[in-house]
Amino acid sequence: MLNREVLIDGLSEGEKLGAEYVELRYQDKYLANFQYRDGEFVNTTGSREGVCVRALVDGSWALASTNKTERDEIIRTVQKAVKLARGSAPSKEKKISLAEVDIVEDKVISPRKIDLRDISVDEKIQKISEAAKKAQDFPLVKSLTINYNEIVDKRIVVTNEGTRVEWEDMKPTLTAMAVAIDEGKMATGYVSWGHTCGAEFFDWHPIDDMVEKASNKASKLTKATLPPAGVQSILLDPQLVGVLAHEAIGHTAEADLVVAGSFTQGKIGKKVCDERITLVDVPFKEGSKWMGAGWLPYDDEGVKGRETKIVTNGIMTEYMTNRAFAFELEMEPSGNARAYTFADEPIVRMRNTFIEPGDMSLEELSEAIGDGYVLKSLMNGQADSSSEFMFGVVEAFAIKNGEITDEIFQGPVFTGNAFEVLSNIIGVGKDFDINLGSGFCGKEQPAKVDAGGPHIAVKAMLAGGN
Amino acid sequence: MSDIELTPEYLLSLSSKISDFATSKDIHAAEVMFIDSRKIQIMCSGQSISTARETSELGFAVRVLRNNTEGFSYTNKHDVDSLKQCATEAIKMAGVSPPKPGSRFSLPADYAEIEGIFSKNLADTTIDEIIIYANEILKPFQESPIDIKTELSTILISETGVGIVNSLGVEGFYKTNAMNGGFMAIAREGEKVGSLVTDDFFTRDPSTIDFRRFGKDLCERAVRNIRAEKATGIESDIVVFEPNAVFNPIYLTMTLALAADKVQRNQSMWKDKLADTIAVKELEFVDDPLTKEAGTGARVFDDEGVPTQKTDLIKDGVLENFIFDELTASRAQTVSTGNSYRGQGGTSFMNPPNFIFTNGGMISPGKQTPEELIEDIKTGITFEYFAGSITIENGVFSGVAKGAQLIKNGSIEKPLTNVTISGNVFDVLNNIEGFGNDLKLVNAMMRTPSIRVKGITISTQK
Repeated sequence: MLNREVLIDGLSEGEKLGAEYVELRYQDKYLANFQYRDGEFVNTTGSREGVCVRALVDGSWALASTNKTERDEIIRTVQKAVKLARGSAPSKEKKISLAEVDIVEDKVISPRKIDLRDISVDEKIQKISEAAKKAQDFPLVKSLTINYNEIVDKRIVVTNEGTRVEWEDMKPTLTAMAVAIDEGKMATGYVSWGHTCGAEFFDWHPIDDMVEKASNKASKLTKATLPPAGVQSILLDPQLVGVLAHEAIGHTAEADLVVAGSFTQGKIGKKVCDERITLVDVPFKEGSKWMGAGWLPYDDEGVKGRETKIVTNGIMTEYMTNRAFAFELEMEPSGNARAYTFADEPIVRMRNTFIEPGDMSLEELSEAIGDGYVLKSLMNGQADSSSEFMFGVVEAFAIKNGEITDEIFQGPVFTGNAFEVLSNIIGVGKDFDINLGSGFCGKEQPAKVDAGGPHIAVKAMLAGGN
Repeated sequence: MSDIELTPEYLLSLSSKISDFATSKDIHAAEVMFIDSRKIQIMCSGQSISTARETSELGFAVRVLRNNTEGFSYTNKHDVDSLKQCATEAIKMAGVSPPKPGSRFSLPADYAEIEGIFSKNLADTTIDEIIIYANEILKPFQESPIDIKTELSTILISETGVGIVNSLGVEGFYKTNAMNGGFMAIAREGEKVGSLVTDDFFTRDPSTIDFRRFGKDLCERAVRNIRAEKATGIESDIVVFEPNAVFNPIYLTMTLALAADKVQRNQSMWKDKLADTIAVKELEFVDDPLTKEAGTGARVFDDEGVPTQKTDLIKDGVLENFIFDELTASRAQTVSTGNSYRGQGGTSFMNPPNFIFTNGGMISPGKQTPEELIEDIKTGITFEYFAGSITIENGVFSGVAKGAQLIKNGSIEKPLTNVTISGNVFDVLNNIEGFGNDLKLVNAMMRTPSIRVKGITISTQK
């Protein structure tokens, strides 16, 4: 790992060149990926390290990065950043200022019981190979993919204001995907988990159990049809509630998109949805027993993470910010500035975003729905600045006379405007879980985030059904 | 270390040294690939430029073969000791990985030159010039009477050198550069917020781009979105997929169904359809990376060092060829078509070859203008891009038609929101009613015109 003093020398160089603010971020990211594909593996291990320099000169930002970590190269990179910032300053319509933050010095390691690096590569590959055999119990399953990823991400952030923070993050994710074919009809079953933790992940989510679930889903879905299109009463599982919170509401409350004109611009203090909805983004959140994958004690500006209450009892209360947008919007920085690699600029991103539980049991929610569908597991999802969204769902089950049946349907596309959907809720469950699976949020650059909530019953549109 | 000039010759020689080191360790074959990239970039936010960026990275990937087992590792350090350590890790991975029958590395071959994939003028472009281009795009935003803003928008000039050597004698290097622009716009009028609109460009000659026009088109589309009406009861099954909408779901599904790994793993609906008619006879689909018009798909060799080539994929509606990498070609007892990628986002030193995709895929244009393409449609929709769900294996798609407009009696009547569409790509290919002449490079790597299709389920809320 790079000696922190080299970074401090970079700060001095930036100040010497007249930068108002200088920040250096060192990152060493180890990534291993073991992908099983029908009896064979594609295995990857490796790491990337580098330094990112951000400089603010005459109210103008610039970033320069390098993967060469010798002192001279870091000094050259600082010089480059300052020169770029100074050179582009005359073209800036609006000068950047940064909100004040506490100066911090800290070193943090993400929660884990067993370090992932203590389990050998051989053992991990063996675990996956053994688990894959479970798919043989399902004669319709013709193809199986298991994708295991682990990231160990070490970062140091130093600023010329005095902040010195270091942290090491560890995140495993695993996805099992089975493809079943029956009489020419093809269907996909999919199970995915991802947390901030160590090798205890394998105890929480035995791989053979995930393969069994994916294979079972795929086999059953070969016989399923889509539910009817149109406005339906729907029970969303915690994963779909999470993706609604993240994708359709959360992005509209990221300060950069707010300033650009998203739906939530000008909505602080106004009612935006049903009063039973409280939606937050936090640096740490435990689900039923695991730590959400969006664990982030400090952001990439070295700002300590705090809870951001985006919607409180149906009222828009706060946006997620970085330091520049916090200044512009006169808010307290929330620790949401994130960069994926050393070459990326920290931008406003979510961490663990969720809707707080309510007071209804699953039985009460089903009863309140009467006839409708329960939607389970996210396949993919998109939303835009107006809060219009579409989520592809893996599977659906019929709810008849207030009871969830085992009548399975292919997952439909669930679509609408998130604030309208959350204004038309039937009830909010008292359960809670957090899991966006193996996916990454893809706003300009990847970020490992998490999201969740309770079961929620709504009236909303299912698209493209029979 | 920092005093050594990292020329292509030096990097190729360093790669050979590491390949030799690996083959001295009881390994049957070794391969070293490097990617040396440099980017200068301007980001835009609101109605102004926000950040200037300059980044560079040099990364190496080492792959080894021991019998039929493969090992892989990567690093972005470039001193000899770190690279030997990376090779040692790859050898270790080969020791613990199960065998992969048919694994092989590429053999030496002649590489074609692709004219125009590196522009000296572009390489000399400065950050100040990029700022001028960005400000041209932003002018229409500033001049609009309606509040239109952008975010996370960028103009980027990238320069990439890719080299590969293997112990079987392969040695290749190419350098390419490009200017990419990616912009989004959101318009607001009082409480009304339009859906965001996006557009991109790719060029090696900035003088061919009318930056002001590009910004103006974005602004006009953004404003159109705040005027959009909620769709109700559209009695039609005719849909025009504009070029960006063709990419997903049509192009993606077709291309992955043509990929030999999907075929060999029972994940392609075209598994047993070679030489069969699988589409209307007017459909022609070719992979042609040997022209600079192919955007980022124009590359001299693929990610295994195999020369890229022109391949007919669908001709007169008949399935002509699948696309292969070395592994799938070995298993099918044929030769690779040069379609190997390391990762789904393009060439990366952080992945072994693990993805098969077209290099410079093109769906041939028709003769009709976009206006002629719709002139006999009584009722239908045209849309800009698809935001939805697709099951690649079976072609079923369903989702929102973004940037939709209602077609009535042969002309565009009004913009719409809340339109959803569903169908099956493999049916779509047999229900194409026309191809536009508006060929466009989409996502910087595939060319397609607008395509008119019947048989699509159009759903609205009422």
